[in-house]
Amino acid sequence: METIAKKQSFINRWMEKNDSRIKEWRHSVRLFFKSPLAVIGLIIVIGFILVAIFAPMLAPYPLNWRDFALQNAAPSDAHLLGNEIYGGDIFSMIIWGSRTSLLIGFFVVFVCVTLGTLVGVIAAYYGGWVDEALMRVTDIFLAFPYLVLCMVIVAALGSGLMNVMIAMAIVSWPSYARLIRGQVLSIKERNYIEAARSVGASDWRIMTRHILPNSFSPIIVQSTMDLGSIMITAAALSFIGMGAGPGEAEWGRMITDGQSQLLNAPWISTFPGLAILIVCLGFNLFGDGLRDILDPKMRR
Amino acid sequence: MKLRDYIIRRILLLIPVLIGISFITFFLSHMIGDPAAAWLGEKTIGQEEAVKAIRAAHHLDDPLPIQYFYYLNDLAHFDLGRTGRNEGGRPVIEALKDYFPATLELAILGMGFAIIIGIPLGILSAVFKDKVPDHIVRVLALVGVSMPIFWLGLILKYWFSFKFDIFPLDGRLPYTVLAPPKVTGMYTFDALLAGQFDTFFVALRHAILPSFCLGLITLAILTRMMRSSMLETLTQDFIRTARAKGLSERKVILKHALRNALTPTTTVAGIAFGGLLSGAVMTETIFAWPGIGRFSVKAIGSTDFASIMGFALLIVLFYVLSNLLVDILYVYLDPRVKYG
Repeated sequence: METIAKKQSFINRWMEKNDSRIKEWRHSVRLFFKSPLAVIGLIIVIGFILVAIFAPMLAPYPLNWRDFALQNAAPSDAHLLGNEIYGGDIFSMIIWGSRTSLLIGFFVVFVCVTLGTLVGVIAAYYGGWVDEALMRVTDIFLAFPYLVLCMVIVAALGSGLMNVMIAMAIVSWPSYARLIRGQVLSIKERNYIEAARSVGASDWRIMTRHILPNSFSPIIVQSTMDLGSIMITAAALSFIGMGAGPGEAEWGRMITDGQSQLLNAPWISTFPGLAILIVCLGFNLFGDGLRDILDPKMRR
Repeated sequence: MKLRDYIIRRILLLIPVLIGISFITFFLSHMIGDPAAAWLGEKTIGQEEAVKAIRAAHHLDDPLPIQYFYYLNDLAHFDLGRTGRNEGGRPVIEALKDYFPATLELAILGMGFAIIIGIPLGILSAVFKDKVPDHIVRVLALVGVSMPIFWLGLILKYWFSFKFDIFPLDGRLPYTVLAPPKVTGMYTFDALLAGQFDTFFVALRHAILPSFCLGLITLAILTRMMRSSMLETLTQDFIRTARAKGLSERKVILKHALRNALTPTTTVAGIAFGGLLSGAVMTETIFAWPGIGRFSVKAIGSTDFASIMGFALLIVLFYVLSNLLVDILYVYLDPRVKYG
């Protein structure tokens, strides 16, 4: 009994202390739900993640299931979206493929945010020649068009999904580093940082408690929007034969596999592409909505 | 600082970037293992002499910094190495010269689509902010940004070439039509220059689907950019003044707001143009368009590394130069922007 009461009072105290923050948060959520497009995006994103997690329960046929008698078969009751060139069930493969897309997206974004934060913070914090050197390195990466640098790196590493992920992470981190650096530089000059410093807060505390939490909202928006384009690029690399191998349940690869049968079995390429489009649109709508609420300048 | 000084400074700043790029391509091309073995294929066993000869001829036994020096020297002489079996082992630079015009043609037409459709859509969206046309345009633009263009290419091909038979399936010209005399290497422009209007229309019909496909993402980006810069311009004082003077809304938007809102859009278009060339990798593969994108995909299929690197270097060079041009254009278009 006593512990519950203690807990309750702790929560109450916390809520009192963070009253303004909670109000702000509630206001943001209300704003977000006012935009129908953002809500549609959120629903797509949540749906996609759930499908990926519960794929083994949702997919009617197991991973790598094939019936060679059903090669290129049209959609039917047993196979809702038809069968692909090796006889696999397209509907199941799309569901299984969502795991690959989700894994690639989150892996790449995770690596980029981590590495980008590290480099961006170091560059902004130390300034001088460290900043100059690190930023010239990002310049070089950003001088390459995204897809081309990915292609070249995968070509050097060898085809395969793992190498596609590594290549995309290598190519994407510099833009995060620049974003974080810009954020840290602008926040560093604010009054509350000076206030924190004047009461004797350490560099580490200022960095982790004051600067980083306040610089994360553009990162969240950026990574949400990027998740969609990362999935498209991964699919594109698979499409030109650099990612998943033939017959694998990966959306881009499924489109490639269907390319040769486009004229007599268009469903093979159509449905996986539709999946990419919907998921990517979902992340973009969601990201747009997030930007509207996280960036106070955009608020109406 | 004068404009001239600014341009010189920008060009000087390019040097470290270009060195960095060459460093990356050098580093990557030395990661693929023993090039000598790659050239000889599986026949290396019992051919130690041949391997040694190749290693010696290409300085592969020298320390890496010296190899890098040789690499830079080759680059400076436009020697990008030799292509693989697909191209019969001719110099990469020659293959690129042959294929580049086709890609450039596609990129120019794609940019044309993006500008002709994207800018009016953006204006429409801004003028009708938060009304039905705005919602439609915004959703369309988001769909455009989210579109896997390689998939769109296949879908367009299926419906517009195969089902409705409006456009040819692929290629640049049918076998029955001779290519126009070569000036630029771009069939549509060459046909116009030679006055062969029949050939022009046939070539254009072949180019419409692939260039639309290529330009779609840029179209969506331009639409969004045009909308936001138009919205920003419309809130400014001089627009209020123009309206107060009693100008028609049409004149206010088309004469006063448009000119000012176009500046940021132009720069975005310039940056996107470099990106368009790399998007050609997908589009050219789908529409069997013989440009550098398709060349690079074939090179990937046969692990022809010199060709892949040559392709990448050409695209990067274009990308870097178009960015530079955009920055220079920007200070020219908007005198308020400070150099530096």
